[in-house]
Amino acid sequence: MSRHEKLAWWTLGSGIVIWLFLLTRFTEDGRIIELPAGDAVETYVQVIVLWIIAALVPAVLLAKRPAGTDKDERDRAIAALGDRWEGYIVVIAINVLVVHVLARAVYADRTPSVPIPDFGSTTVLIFALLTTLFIADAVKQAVVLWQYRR
Amino acid sequence: MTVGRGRVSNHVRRLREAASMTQAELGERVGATRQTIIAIEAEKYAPSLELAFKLARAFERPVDEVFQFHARG
Repeated sequence: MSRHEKLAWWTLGSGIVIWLFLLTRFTEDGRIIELPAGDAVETYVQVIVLWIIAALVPAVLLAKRPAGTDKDERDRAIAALGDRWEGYIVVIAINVLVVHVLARAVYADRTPSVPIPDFGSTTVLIFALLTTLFIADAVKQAVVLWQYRR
Repeated sequence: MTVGRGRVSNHVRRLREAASMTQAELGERVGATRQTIIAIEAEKYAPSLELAFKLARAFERPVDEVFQFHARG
């Protein structure tokens, strides 16, 4: 297993753990709860710190590796494909959010037959946007791993 | 002229073994990782033109003797 593949596994695993942490703070019984602003800020800062630590650990470990183990053209091509898929997910997710907000505004007088999250809520919006980032990164790492292992 | 998608095959493994080189040695010579040489030999990765020329040069062969393009359809 190449170090780039190990890095992808680490990033995928740590991303899932951090997202689960976010999930425990923002949800209760499967529903997004309205957090006080102070708690939301505290959770956001904790997530960012965890994210930075998760990125620093492999960077520090890889810095100890000897020279000559840099990315070659295949690694760069795989990383580029992962980045492209990450971009697709972000574009799709942002558009889904926009359509949800527009639908709520256009059909404000109707009661939806299925529960639709209220993106007017700060907590819901923060959770949705951070989840989008985590899902996009998870898809990116999955694409990278699939390319290395196929 | 339209060229459809095709497949690139190669003789990298045979030429490398004939030259008594390890995958790591060949990789070092052409600026690629051992994993990339493994992927090229298994025909799971088609190298760029630049890397294809470097590989051919490492074996002192013309590039079309190392790589072949098989057009599909």
